[in-house]
Amino acid sequence: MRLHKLLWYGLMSVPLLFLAIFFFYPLISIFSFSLIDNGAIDLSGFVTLVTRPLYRETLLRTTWQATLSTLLTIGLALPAAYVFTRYQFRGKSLLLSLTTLPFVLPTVVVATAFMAIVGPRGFLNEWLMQLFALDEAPIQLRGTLAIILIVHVFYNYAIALRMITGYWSNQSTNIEEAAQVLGAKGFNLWWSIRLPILRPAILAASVLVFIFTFTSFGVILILGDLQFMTLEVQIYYQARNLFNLPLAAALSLVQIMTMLLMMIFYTWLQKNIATSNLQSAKQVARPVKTTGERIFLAANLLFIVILLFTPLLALIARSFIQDGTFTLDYYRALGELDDGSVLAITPLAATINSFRIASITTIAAVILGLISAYLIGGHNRPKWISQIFDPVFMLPLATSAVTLGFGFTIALDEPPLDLRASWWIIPIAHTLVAIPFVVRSVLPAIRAIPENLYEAGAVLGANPFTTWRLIELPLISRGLIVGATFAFTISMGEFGASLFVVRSNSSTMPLVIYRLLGQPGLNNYGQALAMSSLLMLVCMVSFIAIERIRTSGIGEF
Amino acid sequence: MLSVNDVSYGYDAHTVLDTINLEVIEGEIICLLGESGSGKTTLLRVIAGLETGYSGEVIVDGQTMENVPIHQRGFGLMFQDFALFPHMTVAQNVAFGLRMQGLPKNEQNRIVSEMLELVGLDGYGNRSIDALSGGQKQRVALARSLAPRPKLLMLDEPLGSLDAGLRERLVIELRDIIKQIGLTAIYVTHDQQEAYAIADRIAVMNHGKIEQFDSPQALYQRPETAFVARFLGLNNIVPAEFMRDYVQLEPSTDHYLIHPQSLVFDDNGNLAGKITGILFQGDRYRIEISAGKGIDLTTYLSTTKNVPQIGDSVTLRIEKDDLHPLIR
Amino acid sequence: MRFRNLISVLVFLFILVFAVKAQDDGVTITIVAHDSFNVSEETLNIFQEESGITIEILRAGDAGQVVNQSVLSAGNPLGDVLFGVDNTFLSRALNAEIFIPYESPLLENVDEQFILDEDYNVTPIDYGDVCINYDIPYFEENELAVPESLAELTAPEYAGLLVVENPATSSPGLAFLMATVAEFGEPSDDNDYSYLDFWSDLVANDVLIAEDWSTAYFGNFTQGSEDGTYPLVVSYASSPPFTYNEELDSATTASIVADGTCFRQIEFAGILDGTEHEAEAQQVIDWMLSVEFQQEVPDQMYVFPVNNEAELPELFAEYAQIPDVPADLAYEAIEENRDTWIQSWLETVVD
Repeated sequence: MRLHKLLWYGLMSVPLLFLAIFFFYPLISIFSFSLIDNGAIDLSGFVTLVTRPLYRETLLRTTWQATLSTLLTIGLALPAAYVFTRYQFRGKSLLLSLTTLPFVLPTVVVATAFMAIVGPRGFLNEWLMQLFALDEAPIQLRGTLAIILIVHVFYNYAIALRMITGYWSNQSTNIEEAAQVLGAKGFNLWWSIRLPILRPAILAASVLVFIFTFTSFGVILILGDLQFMTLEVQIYYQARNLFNLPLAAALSLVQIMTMLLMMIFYTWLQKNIATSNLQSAKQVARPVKTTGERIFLAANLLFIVILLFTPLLALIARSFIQDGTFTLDYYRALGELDDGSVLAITPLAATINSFRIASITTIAAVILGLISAYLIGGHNRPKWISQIFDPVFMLPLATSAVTLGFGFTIALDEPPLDLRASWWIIPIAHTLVAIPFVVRSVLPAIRAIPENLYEAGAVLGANPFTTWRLIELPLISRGLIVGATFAFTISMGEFGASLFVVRSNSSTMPLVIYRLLGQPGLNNYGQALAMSSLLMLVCMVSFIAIERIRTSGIGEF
Repeated sequence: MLSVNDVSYGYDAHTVLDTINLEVIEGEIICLLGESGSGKTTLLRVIAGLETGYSGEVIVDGQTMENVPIHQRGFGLMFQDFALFPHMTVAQNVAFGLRMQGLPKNEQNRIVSEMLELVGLDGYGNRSIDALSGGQKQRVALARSLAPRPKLLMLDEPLGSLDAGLRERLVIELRDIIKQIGLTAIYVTHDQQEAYAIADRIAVMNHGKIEQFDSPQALYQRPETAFVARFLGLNNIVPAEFMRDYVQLEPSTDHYLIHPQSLVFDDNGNLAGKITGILFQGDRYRIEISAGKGIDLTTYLSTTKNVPQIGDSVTLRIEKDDLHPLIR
Repeated sequence: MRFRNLISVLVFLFILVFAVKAQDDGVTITIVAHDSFNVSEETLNIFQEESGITIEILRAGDAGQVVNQSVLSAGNPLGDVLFGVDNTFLSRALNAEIFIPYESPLLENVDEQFILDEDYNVTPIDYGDVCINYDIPYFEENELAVPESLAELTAPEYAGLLVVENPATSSPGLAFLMATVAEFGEPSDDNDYSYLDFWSDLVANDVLIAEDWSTAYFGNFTQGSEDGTYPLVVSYASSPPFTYNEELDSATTASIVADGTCFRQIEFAGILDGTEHEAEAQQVIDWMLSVEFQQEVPDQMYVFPVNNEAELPELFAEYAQIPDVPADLAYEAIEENRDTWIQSWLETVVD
């Protein structure tokens, strides 16, 4: 038995070691490099930060925008989560997977897609101008907070929807039914009964969406107005363009501090999560009956279609259209990308490379994330452990990718860790970002398992590993799947520090897209769209495969 | 086969179990009877290994359980809230313990069918857990704990959530099943009727201590303490002083218990009192009598006899043999 | 059953992961380059075979990132040769002292104007000009004269026709800004019309500011997108050849190359201090200056060769316009003032 405890501690330390070597060590390295000059601390960055009001404004603006984005995303996703949890309808799980697609698209591509719809000469404006005989485009969204919020929702809707749905699907309906018998309905029902039950999942999703939108920079860069910089954009600008490392480091620290504060707030909100009655998802969902329900279902589906799928479809459609006619030329041209030069990457090679990286990331993130989730929230875990380690594992998400990228170069420069230009740095960087996703998806599920199930299993003769495998794992499989899907998507879409590291010559799908968009040539734009469509296709197929691996119990758990 | 020696358990200066000593013979059904907070569930959990950090010893078949992990003890535990695995069918739940024992699939299936039939859930094997009623869940939980033929079966308020009629029926069935299989069992409840029906011996628990451990009849006829007496519904506890006025006795204790059956109406009786309350109970009346000096007594009268009225003066007969000494 | 799935997935992945490359003997030279560095496989192989040197390429992002990463790894460099530091980042690189000087014999075929560092810490390899591209058919159809100086862009006939990029986030955007700085000068008591005044006028003339080249060119330029409405875009002198239209047998765009309207970006390569193969690194630099390599740079990297013995490919010779007098700005000044210029620009442009 002592061996088994030792094994357990050993296992728990693996994600911690991973984090220590590949996150803290690079982070501390870049901070010391930036802030320590010949033994003395260079405070110039902090001085600038404090003295120039620009940075205070930036922090406020960033927080404001992130808060709005989060509220909007959660608010819009909640009714849809209800629909996906409670109603049984055809194509449900496919639709749910599809909502994750926006996540994988490079910002440049998304921005173009949106401009094609709501831009000054986009579909919507053209149509409105025609309809109302207007001279000027009525919808002018460029540079407004509105378009940023819209695109943020577009990107992050899936996080909220899938996390809340995943959790809610296994919550027994009997508490609600009891309340309804007692007369609760409508707003009251939502406020007093449903939301408290969903609190763990809502909070988990909110944390992620907030962090993402807080550190968002691609969207801000392209769609924001010239002065609308978030903290991350500032760091990006100071570090990359100006190489003003002291200021960049100071800003990074502010960013991390803000995120830590938010995490503390979140942990405070998370207290007293009661274990719930678990029920199979199939039992929870039922076919639509009344007209009211039908309308509600339709409204939510319509919203998803409009917000999420129209831009995607517009994108895909454009990849098939040249000069107004249908053509496969762009796809064919992709096949001819191999012009015999060093940079020439066939889409196949890029796809395989992306896929390889994403698979490794997913496996690593799922394993490490699962262990971390147990480290943080396993049963009988003392509260102080979860209070410390929960924020710790979220940190990679909240840290400026530029900063971390530089950290890799400085820290990982000597054997046995000479990885700064290795192929492996990419999946490592992706895994750092993906682990928090897995943790956030799985943790509520773990916490929802009643204590006596473990005891029942043990009494019936199951050793701890068997108890975990046969009893716990099936009950958290839904959360795991959601986490795995996101890990895969994050990797395919090349999030985080991987954008700022030194890479070997091999390419990935997003890189091909970026390259195509960076060169003149009549076909390049169309090819970029074609490649984006392929990227979405690869993801779709992979999502379906991931769902298949899921344990099949009787109860669609 | 089970010895609990000087087991004490507490936390935060709160004592839950206080020097518990218990011996259970193989094949017998004993009951832990007590209020909530008396420690009965905790004692069960200590025996099962679900609680650690207690002092004292738990010995099974001569072997101490100190370093034996829960899953290796071969006990069965039926939880108060069933703890059924929501993601498994009825059959899969019941088969779980068998699966852990490594039995071949067809053997598992055979025993599962047998168990389901035994608890009256024949054919329910493929059902999902959440489609079951409370009573059905109870029986699945029971079947699950019985199936692996544990050397010691522990049941924690297993009939708690059922209505009275069902409970009455099931407790008898339960005893039959356990005896039929030949298991040793510990049954926890707060209801003395259940205890009487199920147990070979009953341990009455009070604030972490076992007050008395005896067969149901012995317990009823010779409760040793006022607590036990009251718990069994015997309220005629009278001080020795009072009795001396009516019966010739050398008091050996402070208080005596008079069973209601011993209090008969007799016109030539030695104890006078006034009827203060009459409760119709179907086949009998429960009659409260005030005997003066603040003493209230309870007795029964068959409904075939003439019913007295409240306020009537009556006389009862008490014999010395009717007085049963209470230790405390 | 589930375990079987899991195992087959794991096996599949192990196969995927461990596609190991064979190790070569002989010296390997690693070139740390930006994402646009390119050369044909053929030319590369010829060099590798003839020299016995194996070339590995590392990508660090854009030109700025190449320099940043190299500065961060000074002394323990990421590779042996750095390719892609340009004049806008030269100061940063030289100040960090990350190079070993080398004067290639092939430099005798390179024009003086390209040799910015007299200590030969870096060697010029190619150059590109950021120029305004214009839509030829548009100007013809609308009978508009093509602007011949930066100042003319503020004229009313060009109102709402020009799209530029944000210098804070775009390299050509910054180049164009610097061209205006070079042309109009910084604000001072002696200067009547500084570059900031010019920009005010441009803004008043409805200039569109896009976030990056991609958005400007593929989103707003009339010849880059069906939805584009701007016939003037800040792009590269090497862009027009790609708008060659077979039917018309000519390119649909051209560059404005009037004096001072373009900004020249010269790209350099250098040997990184800390390399263990200095001799071989020198060979690589020589190779990059060789005619074989130089003749490919237009097609491979959309830039122009510095070696005056190299011939331009046909399309480039025909349709790429090369300015005689690009804007002139000392490279030291760029690193020093970059932030000031951008911040001032931001303040001017956003009201």
